[in-house]
Amino acid sequence: MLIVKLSWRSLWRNRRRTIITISSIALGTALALFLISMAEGMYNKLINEAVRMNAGHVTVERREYARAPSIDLVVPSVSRIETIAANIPGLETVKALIIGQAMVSSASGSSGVGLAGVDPGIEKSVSPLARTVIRGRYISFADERGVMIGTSLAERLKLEPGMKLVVTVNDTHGELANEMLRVTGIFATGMEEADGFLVQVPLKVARRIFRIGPDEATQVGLVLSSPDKQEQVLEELNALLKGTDLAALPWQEVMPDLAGFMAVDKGSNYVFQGIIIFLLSFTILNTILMSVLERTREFATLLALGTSAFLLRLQVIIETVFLGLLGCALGLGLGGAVSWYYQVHGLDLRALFGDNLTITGIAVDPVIHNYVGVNLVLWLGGLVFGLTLLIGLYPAFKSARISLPDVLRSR
Amino acid sequence: MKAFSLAWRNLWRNPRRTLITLTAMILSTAVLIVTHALMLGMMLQMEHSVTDITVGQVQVHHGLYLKERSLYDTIENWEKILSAARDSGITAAPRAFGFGLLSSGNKSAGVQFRGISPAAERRVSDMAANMFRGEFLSDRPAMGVVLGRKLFRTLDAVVGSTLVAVVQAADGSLGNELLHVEGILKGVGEAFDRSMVLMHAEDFATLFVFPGRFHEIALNSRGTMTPEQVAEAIAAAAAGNEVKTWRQLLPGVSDMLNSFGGSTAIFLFIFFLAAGLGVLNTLLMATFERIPEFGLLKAIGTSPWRILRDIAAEALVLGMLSSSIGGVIGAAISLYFQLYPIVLSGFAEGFNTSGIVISAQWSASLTLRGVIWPVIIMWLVSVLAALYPAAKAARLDPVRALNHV
Amino acid sequence: MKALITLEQVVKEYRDNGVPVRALDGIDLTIEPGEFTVVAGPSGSGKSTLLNLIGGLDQPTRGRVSVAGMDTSVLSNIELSRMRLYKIGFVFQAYNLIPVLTAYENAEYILMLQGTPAQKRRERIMSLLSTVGLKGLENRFPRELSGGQQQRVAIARAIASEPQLVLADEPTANVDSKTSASLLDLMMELNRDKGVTFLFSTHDPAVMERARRIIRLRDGRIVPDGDGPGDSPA
Repeated sequence: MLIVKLSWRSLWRNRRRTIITISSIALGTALALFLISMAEGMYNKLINEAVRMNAGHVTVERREYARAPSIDLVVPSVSRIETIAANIPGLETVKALIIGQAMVSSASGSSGVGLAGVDPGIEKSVSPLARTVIRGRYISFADERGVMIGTSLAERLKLEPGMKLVVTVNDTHGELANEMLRVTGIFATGMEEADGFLVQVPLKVARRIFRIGPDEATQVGLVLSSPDKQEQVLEELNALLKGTDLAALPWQEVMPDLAGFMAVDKGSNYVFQGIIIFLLSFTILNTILMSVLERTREFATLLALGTSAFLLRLQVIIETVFLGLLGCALGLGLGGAVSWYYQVHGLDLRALFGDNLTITGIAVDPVIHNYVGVNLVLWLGGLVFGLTLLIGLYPAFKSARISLPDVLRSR
Repeated sequence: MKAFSLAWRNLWRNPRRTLITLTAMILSTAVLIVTHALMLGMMLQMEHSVTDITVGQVQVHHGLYLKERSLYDTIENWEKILSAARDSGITAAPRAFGFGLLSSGNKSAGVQFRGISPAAERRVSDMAANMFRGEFLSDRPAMGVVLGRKLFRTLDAVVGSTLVAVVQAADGSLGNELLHVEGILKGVGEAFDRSMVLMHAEDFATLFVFPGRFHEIALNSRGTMTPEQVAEAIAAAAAGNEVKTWRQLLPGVSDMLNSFGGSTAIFLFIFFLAAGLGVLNTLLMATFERIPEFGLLKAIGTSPWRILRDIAAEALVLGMLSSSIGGVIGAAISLYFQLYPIVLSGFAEGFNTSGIVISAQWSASLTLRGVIWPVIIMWLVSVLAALYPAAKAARLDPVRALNHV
Repeated sequence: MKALITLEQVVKEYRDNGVPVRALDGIDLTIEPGEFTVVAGPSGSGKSTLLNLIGGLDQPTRGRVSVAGMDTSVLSNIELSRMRLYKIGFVFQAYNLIPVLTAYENAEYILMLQGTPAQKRRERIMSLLSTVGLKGLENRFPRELSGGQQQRVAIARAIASEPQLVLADEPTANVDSKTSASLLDLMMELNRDKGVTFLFSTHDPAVMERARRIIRLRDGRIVPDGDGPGDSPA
């Protein structure tokens, strides 16, 4: 108790030094929190939009489908999956998809594309693609011959809303099938993969073209309201699907390219996070070491009076604990508040860099939203506090290594 | 000069404190330089992934070609453009495009044939170095083709497969040739991966009955000039054709890079803030501890102005020493990462998103600017952080300064 | 009676900027329990060094220092620290109070380290502080006390645990002569009433006059009695 009292009061004896040290820890922590939450926000957005545009966080499909996607590998009963999924907590929506390859032709040429059969109602509420319609409108359930095409495909084939195009596919019976459709709208996601090579039609149109049954689809995607639940949902679903020829897969397996891209980009972010935490540690070491080195006289007195070296070191460590706790709390509060502000309001790059950031579609969003999760705050707080303690060990060790006669003699 | 030698001696009267501040500043300077080099390296790598893999910095087309994509809209005076490029030290590759059908067994796909000069292509782009399987085209026409990453799957082809090409030739006849697969490219972009078939320009001419005509010239200075400078250099020779930089050709990719650049700038700003504040705090603390000493100087009759001047000199000397050492260390580390890239993930291949290839190998890019800015900022911070407490000390009356804690 | 302090042929050398300096040069000394001894001599004569060696703050280059029957050169740092805690009280020239503790807490510090129960601590410190004349000032911090008052706190701290020996290095050098006299009165009183052994250094003739035994040092050697100026023990 004495030692805690001694530590706490010693801390506030040199108020300025303590404030400088605490502010160092706090500012470093706040900046790290802001930086990491910004990166987290960018990843979350990327994943969020990709899974909503594609086959959900968790995708149910035939076991063989991932290895060799083929239009005749269908989920036999979409409604059954929907029933199972309805009981899963944290489910936002279930989207049935039919994905196949097709050739689209207009008077000006033809192009190979991916043809996606989607439920227009669901798609409109979850998929970011439906928000980027630049001409015409998004397809609806009633469109018997409606098709959405991307802006660069429209440019290549010289198509405008209302114009006709012919879709040619190999159907599930292995026969070449043609179907005349009309462009309902043109989207611009900013992603060449979609804008140049994806067409969307209502589910029933896709079923008709490919000759797929009314309750069948190639993939059934589950969009979750909270991605943290993904592992749990995956486990539950796979348990239920045991014994069938269906499997539930995470988006990382369905979209390996995106997962790979994220792995690479996260790698670079870890490097930056490492650097900033290194800088932070060094600042902490400097300030604590300097304050210990300036107090040799005080320590020499304590040692001369018979305080053991252990007790003195403990005192310095307890001081460091106080510094770490205060710095961390302040830093997390400050960084959390700023990050939270940008999580809600978004950080608009255009305001910072002028309007020469002309923006097309969802791929390039100039507004960055941070994402501060409880986990992030906890682990960063734990990390900084642990680091402070670890760093405090050296000054604590140094504190009791003084030549008593030298220090006591000098005045 | 005398002030500086005095400052130098003063600094070493308390070597421990000087060493602590010195290391803090050296480290921060070095970290800033390395961070800047890494971020710049990432940006350049992305830009190069756009320009160097297939696109080039600048492309020349017939004025109508990009709109119509017609076989007959070919470039005027293409030899003149090539020689103008050669004179300016810019690499250039002529390309001819034509559409057709390619089949293998019962699988077939609509494709774009791209007639190229393999030797020129090797200079302009990194296509030849981006092989997934097999070899790039050889310099001699032999009816070999290189397929896109997704196309070979669609056709169920392997290296060595024989394919049948059917096209509408320039003279209206039906062109028909047997082609064999020499190689498969890595993923370089969606359009390319799905439908591109590379072949020797002379084979292309045979297939399409279309000798000596080209639709596109890709130009690339390989890092020595900006795209605008490249466009400028060949503008006269290319008169009558359309000249566009890659940013004009691919506005979406350009936006994406700009947006990435924006977030990188914010990251960098945070780093400068963190390093600057760290050094500021360390220096503030070091100078505040010395206030009694300044009080003593004042007590023995030193003028406040002289105290300020001496401290500024010390800060300058400290800043000079630490920023030059930090500059050298930072530059050395950056250079190391420039030569030996950081491997970011176990994936051998990079990842392609919207036409930008994100490489799993990350190399730094060291520039003069990237060294000078951190050095200047550290100087400013060191002088500011020393002058504030010193000004405070200079104003204090000596007795209070002596007892200042 | 067994001697409390014995020094045999003690030599202490320092290196001052690389130049060897002999601070003590062959000291033989014995101090019995209950003595009130002054070490006198000009500055630089080795007074502080002598006290540091006896207090276990430093080790002799040659010779033997034993305190309460223990040879300090064979003790570990931890044992030395325990020796200081249990056997010796210190009073410093510059008081060296712990700035963040009150007068009461400063005096209490050593008892707390020794693990004395709270009730007993309280009784002893309150009576001790009134003995040294600080009644009513218990809750003041050092910076709120005068120099003399601070040194009284330091004396209370030194004797609170009833050590066998109190070492005081120039305890009156920083205070005026009136305060000096009253501090000396206090220490003599403690020596008489409680039997505390005092060994302190000074170069103040007024202090030397009142000592029962004087050890004179010059250039690291003990000057034999009756061989120096101001040599007139009371």
